[in-house]
Amino acid sequence: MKRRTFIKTAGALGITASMPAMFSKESVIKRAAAAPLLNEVHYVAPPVMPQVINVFLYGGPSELAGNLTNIEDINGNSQNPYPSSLLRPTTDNNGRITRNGFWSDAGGEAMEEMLAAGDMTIYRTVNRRKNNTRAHRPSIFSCLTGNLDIDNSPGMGTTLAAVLYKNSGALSKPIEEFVLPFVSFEGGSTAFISDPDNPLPLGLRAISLDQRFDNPYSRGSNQFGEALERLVAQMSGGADKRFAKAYAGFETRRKLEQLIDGFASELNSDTALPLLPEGDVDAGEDGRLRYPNTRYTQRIKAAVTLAIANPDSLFITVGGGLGGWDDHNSAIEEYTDRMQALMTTLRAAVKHIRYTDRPGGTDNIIINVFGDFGRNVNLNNSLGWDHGNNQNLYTFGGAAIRPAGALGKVVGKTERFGSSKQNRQFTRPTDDSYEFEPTAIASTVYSWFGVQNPEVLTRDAVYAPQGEPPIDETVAGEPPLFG
Amino acid sequence: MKRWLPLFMLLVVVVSGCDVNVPSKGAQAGFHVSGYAAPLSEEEYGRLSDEEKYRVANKLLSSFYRGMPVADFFDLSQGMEKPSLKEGRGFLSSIEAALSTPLDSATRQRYDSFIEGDEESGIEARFKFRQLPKERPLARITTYPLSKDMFDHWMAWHLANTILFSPAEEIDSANINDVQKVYNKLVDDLRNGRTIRQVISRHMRTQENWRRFRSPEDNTREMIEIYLGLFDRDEDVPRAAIACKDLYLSGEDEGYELLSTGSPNTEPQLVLGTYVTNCDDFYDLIAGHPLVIGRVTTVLVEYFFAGRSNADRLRIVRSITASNPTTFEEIFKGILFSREYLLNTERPKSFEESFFGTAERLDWTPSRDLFQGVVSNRGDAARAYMGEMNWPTMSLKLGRLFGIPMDSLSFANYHKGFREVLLIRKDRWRKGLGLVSMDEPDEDASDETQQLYERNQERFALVEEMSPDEYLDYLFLGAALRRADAVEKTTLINIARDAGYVVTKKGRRVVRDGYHDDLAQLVFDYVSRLPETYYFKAIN
Repeated sequence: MKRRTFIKTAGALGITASMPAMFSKESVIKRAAAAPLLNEVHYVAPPVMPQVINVFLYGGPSELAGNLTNIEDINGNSQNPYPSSLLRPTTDNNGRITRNGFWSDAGGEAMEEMLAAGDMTIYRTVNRRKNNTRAHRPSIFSCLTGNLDIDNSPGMGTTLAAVLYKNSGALSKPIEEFVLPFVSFEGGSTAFISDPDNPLPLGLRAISLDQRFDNPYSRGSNQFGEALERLVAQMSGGADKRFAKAYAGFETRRKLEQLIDGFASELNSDTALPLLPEGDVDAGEDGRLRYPNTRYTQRIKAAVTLAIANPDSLFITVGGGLGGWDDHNSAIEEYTDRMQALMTTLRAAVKHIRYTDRPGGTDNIIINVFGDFGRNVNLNNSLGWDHGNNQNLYTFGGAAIRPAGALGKVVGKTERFGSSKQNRQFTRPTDDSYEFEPTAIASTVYSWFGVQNPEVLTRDAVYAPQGEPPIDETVAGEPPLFG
Repeated sequence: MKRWLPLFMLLVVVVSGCDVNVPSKGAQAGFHVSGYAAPLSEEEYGRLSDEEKYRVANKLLSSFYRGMPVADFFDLSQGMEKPSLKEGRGFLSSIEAALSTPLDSATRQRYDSFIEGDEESGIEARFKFRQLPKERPLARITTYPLSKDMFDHWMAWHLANTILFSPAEEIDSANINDVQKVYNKLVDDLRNGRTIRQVISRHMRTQENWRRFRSPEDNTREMIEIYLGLFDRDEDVPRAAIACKDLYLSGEDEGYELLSTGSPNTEPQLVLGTYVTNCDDFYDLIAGHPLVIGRVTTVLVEYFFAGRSNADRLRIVRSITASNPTTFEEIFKGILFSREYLLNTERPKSFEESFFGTAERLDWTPSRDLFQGVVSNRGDAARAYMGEMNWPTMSLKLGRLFGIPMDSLSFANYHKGFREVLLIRKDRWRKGLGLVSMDEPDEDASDETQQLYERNQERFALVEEMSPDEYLDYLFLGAALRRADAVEKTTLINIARDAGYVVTKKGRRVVRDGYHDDLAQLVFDYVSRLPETYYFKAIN
């Protein structure tokens, strides 16, 4: 199904038309109750609306796939040695270090290709200095809420929805008319933690979808179905408050029952994937893009398919079943395979976006990939890495949204620190390196969507009272490690 | 700083008696929660209306995946208008007493044979299993009579699904055998009345725990976080890891064994204000720490009182911990029998609470592959697979969430499983509810079949006499724990009339002979679509 056909079908099914009616049931929502921070947002709608796919690597991935620049020093001080091939460039006797210092068979070759094509930038110095914790919970929450006041902050997707709702009039069409603007492919997500003081209309809350676009929302044919639904509607007065979650679930179900099959058709259509240039490594026999068969393919392909097919999907989260990056033991082999699978899948995803012919283009679609934190660099006695701090942000696509020169570079320099032959050894930014806090990623997302002062959304009273500025995407990249 | 501050961050509880080796008090003699989380008294229960009593009784029973049919709770011989109670005064005490009474070994063996079969005795297995360690517990919880054995299994199930003891089957280094070990050891602990501190102390030292938290730093960090609720101890973690530095988990090829280098640490390390030298010291420190009881109570309260404010939950935790619980049984009972839980808490039900509670109220007959479907996504009941509801079994590294996943996808699967595997499967409950008359079983029929027949005949006689209005009330009470509203009665009877399920005989509207089960399926389909169905309701 072509994208236009899909959207047309959705409209014909009454989905788009039904949205305002759905929102009208939420008239009890008080816009005036918006949190004070929202009132401080200076909002200017962007000329092109971004679509962001947020891939979160739960558990905290090591940075080494994208940063072997310190590996010799790391290996020399590690309690257990790294494979010797990891100490040599790819040009030297089957070594593993690529031109830009990536780990070749941990996705490094794919990264080099995306870097050269101008589809990717890697930031090597996402470094937590404020409330520096190495615990999962506060790390995940601060990353995905974009705030260090983790117990009082909604998810970054929720904050974004609230900003767009408040500034709906500045958009090309009211945000209430967007179809599936906020989507999770990971079930309930921290990125969509709600704000009890500032409830959103139902249509702006995240909807979780299955990666296969399986449709659990249909009930099949039932001769009494319509009559029962009418009775339920008649008897559900007050249920939207008292039994809010189940009520919302049923309301969403009614909408998705019809809509979801359209996405499934798009996902499963052989002709929906774009033709690639001749000889492209990701092309199948028919010349069309073929995703590799990895554990990440279904979710990432589903997210990209949705983003391409439905420009109204503004913020999509992918995570959960992404394999667990908490590599405390047996790390080298498992991490290498996992990272290779992830990056080759992302390479296909980037080509899916780049080569799809969509009216208005697809260069507004951005994929961000990061995790709880980085890991330490000492190989412990279980041959794993324990929790660390400094990590990479891999960001892809979105040329229409970013400043010139934002893509196709490696940003940030690191050094190893910590006592030799002890467990607690990490990397950190060098004194002359650019770096930013993990919460700056949320700040950047807000800025892409038109928030001029995202610091007001990322500040807290204790750790970051000034908030976090967005990433400076104009910072120059590092030269290649090897000529 | 007002909205979602988790309880464990707010909680500062000082509990005396931190010696891990203090023996258990046994069967909670003399344990009594007072104050805010005090139990619901029989007197107060007695002041509730009969329908409120039924709702409270089933809230309690559903919490441990059980239920009570309408016809067992009420005497329906005078019709549905004003049925009298069969289960009157002393109901709560009787449940509490049942949960404290072990089955004798012969009885337990008989039920196990019933569940799994016994070739020697010629007993056919009632259920088929695919992943026995994950499926059998639910079979026991829902098949054993109310007893301490059943309650031990339920507590172990609950605990092994929380952050406290999840076997974390999802991660590479853990497998189904770890599930079995963690679960069975918990059951053994509970059966023998071991204290919370003893259970935690034992569990931390196991290979199963190390397969979940796999290096000295990982393991010590998580023990501090999970059992003490301290998430900001980055200073302590490296020192604790040094104390445990001789322990490590071997690689996949070596079978992920917990091994020691044989060179334990010898230099004392200051951890949480106490010097520890080796991992045993560290585990003793954790198990004996003053925060343990408060933290464990908090984890359990967060789940059962999910619908309550932080302030309320904090009061409940303080009230329970002030009573100095030493065993999990005491905390669970403190929660479940509390007035605050039974009368004042409203929250979404877990799938187990909804499904199995309703199933027993409808006196249903489960399919042989039920637990395969619910737990392992196999067979005819796979539509009720809890993994699709983001509620997997003993799988998640950090256990199930505090709240029931109610996002759109999870809830869609929840609703679909509940509806399609239970509520609209009339062949599963029409006999138990007495909606059709069973044929008399053969002489060699099982006791279960014989008992079902007797119940069926008794209930069928009652149902046959009910008017359509009474019949709807009977069905609603069973499925929705309330009577049908007047609008619901009118509308559903009109739908049923149009479908030919309700007819007029001699000027009276009656349910057509042979269509009671069709009408019930219509009603239960309706009930499945109501948001309220998925919640434990407050009475007050």
